[in-house]
Amino acid sequence: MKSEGVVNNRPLSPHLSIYKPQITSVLSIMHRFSGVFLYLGLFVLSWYIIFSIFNQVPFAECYLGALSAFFGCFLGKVVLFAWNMALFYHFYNGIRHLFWDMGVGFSKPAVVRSGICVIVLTLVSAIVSWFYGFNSLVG
Amino acid sequence: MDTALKKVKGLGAAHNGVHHWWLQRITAIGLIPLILWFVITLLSIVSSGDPVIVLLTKKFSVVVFTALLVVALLHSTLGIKVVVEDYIHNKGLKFFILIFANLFSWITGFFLVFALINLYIISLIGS
Repeated sequence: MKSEGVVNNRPLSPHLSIYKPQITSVLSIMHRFSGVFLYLGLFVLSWYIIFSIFNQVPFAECYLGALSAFFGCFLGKVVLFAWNMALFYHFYNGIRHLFWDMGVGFSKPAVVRSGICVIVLTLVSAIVSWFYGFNSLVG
Repeated sequence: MDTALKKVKGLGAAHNGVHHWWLQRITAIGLIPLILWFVITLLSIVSSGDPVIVLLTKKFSVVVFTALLVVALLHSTLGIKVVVEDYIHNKGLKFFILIFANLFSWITGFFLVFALINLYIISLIGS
């Protein structure tokens, strides 16, 4: 509640600018960041499928060509690897969140432990799947 | 600012109760097996040509893939709403982004489902 005439310059929730980075807060922000990033990827993939099926549409060739050119170059590979990593991270950390929703794993050591688990699983899954074949998915 | 009626109805700050929260969780649980299927299938076919084309020429895969994309679209549109509500404090911009994001999700989902149904019917005729 703000009284009338009082200037209120306090930072608005969720206080990112003044919050000390810890494994809990960093992973939480990463969850959102990877979610937004995957949201963009979902549209790129969706329209790739739409235009692959409706490939007689005038814009289709342009879109498919641009995609294969982008994912053929180095920057494209970096973005692709980032999407691969974001998918595994959001997947594992999402399961962590679902356990919290059930009230499991809330103690401080448990939160740190599950956080480290998520990081290790993400790195292993992303790197293994990348070299197993995801690096040649597009382009 | 809470009226007694609002408290009784339990609608909270977003004015639509816990429906959003539940749908976010239900889609999240649904995505667990779908993503597992997606990753495992993709890894198993990655060496045999364009993976999306290979994925879309198998009848069962088309159905599961459609489910994955639709549930993912739902889940991510719900997620974006929360992020925008948390970080965009300008009311006009907030509603502009929310409306645009929702519209774009619906348009994408609409085209996607029609494209995949189209493909499924072709695969039925072909077999």
